[in-house]
Amino acid sequence: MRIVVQRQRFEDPGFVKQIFGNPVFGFGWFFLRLYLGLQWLQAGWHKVSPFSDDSIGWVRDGTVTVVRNGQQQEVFYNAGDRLLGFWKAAVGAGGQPPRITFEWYRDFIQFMIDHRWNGWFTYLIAYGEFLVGIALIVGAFTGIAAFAGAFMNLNFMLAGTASTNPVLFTAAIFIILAWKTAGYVGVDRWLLPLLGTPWQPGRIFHHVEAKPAARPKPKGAGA
Amino acid sequence: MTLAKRVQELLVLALTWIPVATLSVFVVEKLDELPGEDFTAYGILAVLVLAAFVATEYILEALKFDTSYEPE
Repeated sequence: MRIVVQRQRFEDPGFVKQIFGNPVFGFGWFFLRLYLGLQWLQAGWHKVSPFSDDSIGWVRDGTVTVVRNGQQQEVFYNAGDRLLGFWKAAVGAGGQPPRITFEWYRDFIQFMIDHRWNGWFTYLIAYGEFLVGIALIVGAFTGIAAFAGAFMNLNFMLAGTASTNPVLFTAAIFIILAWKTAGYVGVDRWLLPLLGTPWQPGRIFHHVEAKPAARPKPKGAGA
Repeated sequence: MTLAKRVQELLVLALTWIPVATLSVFVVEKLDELPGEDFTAYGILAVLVLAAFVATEYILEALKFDTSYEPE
């Protein structure tokens, strides 16, 4: 018996191609992108701002006044202490029930706690959130920024924090799908054709050679 | 595309969009003082980005850059 394997290509429906590929829809994606960017910028800025006490414990050392048992106390935080507190609560340190469902993820967070990775990871998260926000607002490297945002959302959800993460994650997925046009009303309008992608280099990588001088026609040739 | 042209195009983009990024941070910093907070910030940023978009298009057209965009 001979089996004939027919190659069949499945194309996206026309409306999907239009929504994710037509620059006109870039104006629609712009508003979703802006919402997402504003959320990330707000989250990131209070962690990196030199003008706010909120950044103490994230990227700055310092003393913060907190109320404990009805009394005001001065508490000193090192950079990364707030992240360490979040991680410890997630794995259930100090007899609390763990917030993380998956054991492999709990082990991963515990590994980072044991090796004091909060010292450098805090900068990665704080500046990562800030830069994702900026990139989404101005529309630069939109697809990559949305992917980085979605990855952070996923990790926050795995660590047991719901908050706005499910909404932001869903919005980011749509922006990733519309990577070609989501940044159209933004820097990607010019940056994407200029830089291109790894599989399709942009104009900046195309070397334009000077046109060779026209050769003189050989005698007796041509009509 | 010559090196000078490449640098010029990137320079135009940087000079137009870095102020937008800076102003975005300023808007978020002053968010508590804005009436309507998030909603007003959203409106200001939308106007800022659209204005920068139009300005960049205009400048690059005036400098005779190839601004074609065909994502397909």
